[in-house]
Amino acid sequence: MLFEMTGITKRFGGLVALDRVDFSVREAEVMAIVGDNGAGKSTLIKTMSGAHAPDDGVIRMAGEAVRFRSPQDAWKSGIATIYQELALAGKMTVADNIFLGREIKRPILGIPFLDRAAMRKRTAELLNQLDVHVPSLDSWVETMSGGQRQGVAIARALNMDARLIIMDEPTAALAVAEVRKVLDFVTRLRGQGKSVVLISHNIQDVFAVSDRISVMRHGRRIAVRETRTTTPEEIIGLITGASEVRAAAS
Amino acid sequence: MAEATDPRPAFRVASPTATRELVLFIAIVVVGAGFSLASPYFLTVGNLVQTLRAALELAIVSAGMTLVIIMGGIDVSVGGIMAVSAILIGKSYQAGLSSWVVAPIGLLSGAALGAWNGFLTTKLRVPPIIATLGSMYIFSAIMFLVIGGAWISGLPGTLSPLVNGWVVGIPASLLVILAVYGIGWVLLRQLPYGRHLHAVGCDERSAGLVGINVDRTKIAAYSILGLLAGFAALLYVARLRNVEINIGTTVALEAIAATILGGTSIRGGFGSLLGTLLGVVFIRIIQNGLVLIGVSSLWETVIIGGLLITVLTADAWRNRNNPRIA
Amino acid sequence: MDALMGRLRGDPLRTRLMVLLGLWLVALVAMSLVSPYFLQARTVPYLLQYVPILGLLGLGQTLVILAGGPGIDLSVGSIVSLVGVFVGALVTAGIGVWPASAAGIALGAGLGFINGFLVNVLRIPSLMATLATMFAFGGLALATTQGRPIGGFPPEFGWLGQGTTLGMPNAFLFVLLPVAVVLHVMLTRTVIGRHIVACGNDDRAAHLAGLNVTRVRVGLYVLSGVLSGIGSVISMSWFLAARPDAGKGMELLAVTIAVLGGTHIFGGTGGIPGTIVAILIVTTLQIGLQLANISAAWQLGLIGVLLIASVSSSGGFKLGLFRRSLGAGA
Repeated sequence: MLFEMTGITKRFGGLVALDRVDFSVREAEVMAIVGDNGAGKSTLIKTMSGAHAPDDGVIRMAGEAVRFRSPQDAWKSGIATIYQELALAGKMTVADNIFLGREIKRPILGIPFLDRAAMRKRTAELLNQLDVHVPSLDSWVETMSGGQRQGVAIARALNMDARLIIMDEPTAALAVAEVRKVLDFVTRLRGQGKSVVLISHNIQDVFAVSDRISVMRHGRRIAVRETRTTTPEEIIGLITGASEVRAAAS
Repeated sequence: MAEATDPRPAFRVASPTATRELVLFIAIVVVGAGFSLASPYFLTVGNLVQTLRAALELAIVSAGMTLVIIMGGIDVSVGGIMAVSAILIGKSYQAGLSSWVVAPIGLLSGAALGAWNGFLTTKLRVPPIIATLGSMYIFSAIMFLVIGGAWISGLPGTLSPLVNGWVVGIPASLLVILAVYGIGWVLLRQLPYGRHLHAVGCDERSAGLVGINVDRTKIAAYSILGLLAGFAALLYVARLRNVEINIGTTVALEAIAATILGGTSIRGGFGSLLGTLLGVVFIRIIQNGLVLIGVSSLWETVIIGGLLITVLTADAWRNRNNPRIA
Repeated sequence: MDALMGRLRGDPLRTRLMVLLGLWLVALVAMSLVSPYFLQARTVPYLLQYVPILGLLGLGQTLVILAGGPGIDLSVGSIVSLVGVFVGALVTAGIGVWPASAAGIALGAGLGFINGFLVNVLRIPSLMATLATMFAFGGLALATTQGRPIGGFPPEFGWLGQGTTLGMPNAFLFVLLPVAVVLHVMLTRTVIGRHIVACGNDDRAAHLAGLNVTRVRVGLYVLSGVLSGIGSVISMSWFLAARPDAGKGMELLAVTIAVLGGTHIFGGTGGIPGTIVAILIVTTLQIGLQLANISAAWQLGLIGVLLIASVSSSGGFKLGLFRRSLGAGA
């Protein structure tokens, strides 16, 4: 088990966003998180990525208990996150964004100068790997299309050389061809031995790439299924609570 | 991930503020030409050097202000920081301390006051305009309490060669300005901290999400501005040998004006130190020129205000297609 | 008691008002301890004479900030100065002092419109735009008069700024009080008041609901200009002269009063009563310290501390403490 959360609870004032959630991800696995709006998906991954601190519960990375006090801590533990809103700095270039917070430095007399040449080279490599085309490496990110920006965000996560990559609704705003690329990329990551946590409300995408599916509802994880052995109908039923109703009625 | 058939034109200019810098440079040349036609004294070495020396403090403070504004903040209390630092410097000199001790005192006091502003805006989450407004009141109060309405006079001019001296035929003031802006440029463009400043100014939340220590970035920026204000205070004392009651009253607004004229965006995220320097030169040339042709210096403020409005309108027109936060 | 606590807990503005009134009480007590002259009967009208000009500016600022944007008007002091110079020039040219004043107030409206236009139509951030107009208007006032005040106002003009009726200064009784009441009623009971608060809370939602956000905000900048113009008239009436630096420094105090009074700097929350009490607090401190011969420096410092304390930790450090002491779990 690469990553494990046990009994995680998170409250915002009087609202319980996560209620004793258990969650785990194996090595080289794609785990999908599905659920209706407000089910707690985003809160869960923000807790995983270090943006929120849980009020209760234990997080374990590769067997060791960890506490993330900031996104930097999570990154140091090997978790890279691609947020739904991408978290890109609009008025900065592609290279700037990819290396924000983890710039390549070239110390001269002890002063850490930016190694722009190295960063540009690596940026070109990463974009190539992902098959992302941008008009110019010096363009400002805010001038690019949604798909290109998604590519930059993914390149940034790739650059972090993480063991676990979290993607929050990566295909939500993309065209069909772009979605294909993202899903291929997810599969490729698994092939490299990395794990991916994927939030999506698109059941098709989920069934296309995931190994297991966790269903969130009202802040609880109510079910985990192996993708091979379940069906879209069952998952949707779990998301909407239809199966509960059916169970209660029978 | 789309192909390169994206219809939107990419932003190809290496430096988005290049246009503004060019325009300012041309404006300086034009205005300078105009003044030299109107007054024989304008283009003399003596006058230009004099103007340079008068611009020294504003230039130094403006460099720091540019950093803070790029970071997305603002500081209207720098005049007060200058004043308090100057008082500490004056009192230290009067106590007989040598410049070797006084200089660090001036710099550190400025940095400390700047850090105070940083603290207010980060840990207490006070909006920068309010925090620095309040600080300005407090610093002014400290100044009045310590020296009342009197000046501190008769201070030693040990550091005045930095202002008035010459090095191989070049005015020391010019070298000081170039040094400060050179270091500032390195900080902004060649060090990771510069990237962090831009990122925080662009989108604070995103910067935090990708792991940048936003609070620390902000406090550092305000502290640097404070440090530079302290440096300006040192040079002020070196130049005038006094601490006068009106020290620093206009420096904050002029620094902000120079920074905005120079192309730095008031919303933060991008800016130009070169532009700020040109802005400082422009402002001081106008002031100097007006005096030489006999126009009351009271018209300066009107002109600067008018220029600012023009520049801001031009910026707004340029951004007219960008959806804004309503 | 439970009902009172319940109502207090539920309405942050009311809580703020209570805190402010308490603060004013503390200020009154402190000042009377500090100076024996403070509690004399003469002091109250004296206090109230300072209040109108700053009060009008503070009220205008409150509404501008309230409507969001974020909105702020740093040029109010300069508008006061420029309107004064304008009226002075008209009077010197022979125009009657009251028509000249009316023209001056109209100028204030025009200057306010310029601000509103820059901020809301051209979308220049309000801080910068009003900073620039502050430079421009203030500089104009100083440059056209060479820094010299304009005199020659007829003595009967002094009725507004110097005269008293029933022991209360006229400017307070006949200008500030009615204006405050009208604005308060407008804000809390009319449709336009609802619209102002809506714009400050969420302008996108307001826009989608059909409100003309731009028109509301420009209107408030015009109002701020008008109030500054009126303030200028009162100031001239008081001194019987138009000083080109009459408004210097007032913008900062106006913002301080608005923010101290509970108006949130990003808009959406705030109100007239809070601003009024804030004015009283600030003026009480100023007068008290002055009577006690304590230097202006302490006043400045105190105002600075007040300003920061009232905005700390998103919406009032004291407020947070107060809430927590009530045991509010939410």
